Amino acid sequence: MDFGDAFAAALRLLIDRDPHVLSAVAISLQVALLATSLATVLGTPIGFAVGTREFRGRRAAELALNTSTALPTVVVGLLTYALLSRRGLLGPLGLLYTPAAMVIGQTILVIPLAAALTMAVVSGADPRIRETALTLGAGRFGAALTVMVEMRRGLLAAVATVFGRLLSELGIALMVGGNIQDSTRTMTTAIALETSKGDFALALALGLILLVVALVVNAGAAVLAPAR
Amino acid sequence: MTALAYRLRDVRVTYGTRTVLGIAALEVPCGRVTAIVGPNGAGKSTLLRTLAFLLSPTSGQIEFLGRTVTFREAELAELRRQVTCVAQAPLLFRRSVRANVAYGLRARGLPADDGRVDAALDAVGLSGFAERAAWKLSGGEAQRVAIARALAIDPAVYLFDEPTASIDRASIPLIESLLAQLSGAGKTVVVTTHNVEQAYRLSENVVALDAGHLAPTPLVNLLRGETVRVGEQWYFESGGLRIEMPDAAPRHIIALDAEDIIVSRAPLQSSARNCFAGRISAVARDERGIVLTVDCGRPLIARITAHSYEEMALNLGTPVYVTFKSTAVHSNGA
Repeated sequence: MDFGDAFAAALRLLIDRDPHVLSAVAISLQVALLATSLATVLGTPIGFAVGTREFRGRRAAELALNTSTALPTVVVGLLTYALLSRRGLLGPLGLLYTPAAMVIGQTILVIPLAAALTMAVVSGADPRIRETALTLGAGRFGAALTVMVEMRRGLLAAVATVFGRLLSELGIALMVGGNIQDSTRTMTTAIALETSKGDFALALALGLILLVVALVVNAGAAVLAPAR
Repeated sequence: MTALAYRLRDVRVTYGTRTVLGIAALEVPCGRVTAIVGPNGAGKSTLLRTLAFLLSPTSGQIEFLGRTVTFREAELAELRRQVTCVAQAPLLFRRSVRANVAYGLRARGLPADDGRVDAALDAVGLSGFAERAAWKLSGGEAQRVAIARALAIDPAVYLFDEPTASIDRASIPLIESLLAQLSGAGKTVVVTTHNVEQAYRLSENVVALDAGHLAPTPLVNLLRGETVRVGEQWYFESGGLRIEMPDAAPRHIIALDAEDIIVSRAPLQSSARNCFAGRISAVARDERGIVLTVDCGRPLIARITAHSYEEMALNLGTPVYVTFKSTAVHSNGA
């Protein structure tokens, strides 16, 4: 089958709303959304603390966060696998090769990214925001919340960036998800599998969707990010 | 003796090796306006941020309402609720004007819908601005919203950093009378300004700050009166004095720096346009020399060196002439 035929077949799959295509899209979006939410909840406070507070070792913490945004996904996949495999710490939960396993692995992957992006956003915040909140009677927590609300566009852009990174993630999804059809098969794992099988039509159909979703998410992030 | 809002002892703020504030002793009375005057970079804003408990001094002691401040975070949070500081370039939150003015009420868990927000906006001449977007206001409007934001929470102590710096001239009297009303209502007000006349207009308690340290209070002659025209020349008449003015702007108050007045035994033949005869009615000594009060119908203060004072054999009651150029007359902000 040549590329032109594959492209025509891909379009047919999209027009016919092939159930396997739709399930891969749905699983991808669900896992990425959940992992993004968890990483936001866990990573944002870390990034906020490192970005706004003075403490010993702050520069080291900044460096560690920025470096760990480049965590190789297969390494995180390996660690998550070790954690969830039968003899691992969380082995008894029986999560390996479930969507939950992918969520855990992907959350671990992007907590540093969420923290580093938050750090960049809040450390660029006008220091007068915090002082104004404090002198108007806000407590430390209230002032921190006000800084976040004032920097909401930058923070939303950070969340969109994290989401985009997870949508296109392959290593963890493959290693701890297992690429089980209609359960843990995401767009990326399906593309990898179908390509290796030589079924370019399905791979291309999913590739097109992935491209569009990624473009939309990144365009959203670019629109949200304050102009510099 | 009036109660003190603040008592500072040896308060220093240093960044690295640089001392930006070094106050040996300063007392701020309760229920009155204290004006801090000084050039840009004198440390006025640093002092206000320290008084607002936004900046903890590197060393030294601060008593607030009779209580020694420990600078522990829990205590600072409580003290901050009794003080509010309106910054020189205030930041408005990216919300509506109403949400900005209500911020302090919300932070205190108070209802923000009982008319306090509108009353505060009325007080700064911005009624009807409540629903506007705060980031679309002009600089002067933003400054007035920041003042309204402070009024809404009605703290015991108000700190204003150059409150009229970015406000249009027409609104300056409004803000100045607002400060007077606050102290009239028993509030403690500390205001900074680079404008000496404004400082004296606002307060009898003027503190001068220079390079982070308290400086001798500037000696300024403030004269109230009217501008009059005689032929082609404009004069400012105050008491028995008719002072030649450099231009034709109408004024009600002018200022003359004590350093700009020349004292002589005989009338001076010079280019200076103003020369008056008088008698020395008071002699005082300060760190920088001798301060003479010369009564020329109106008392004028002049500072001369101790050396000149001896050489000219001046004394109480000595008849002298005071001379100054018309361009020595300040009237900005009046």
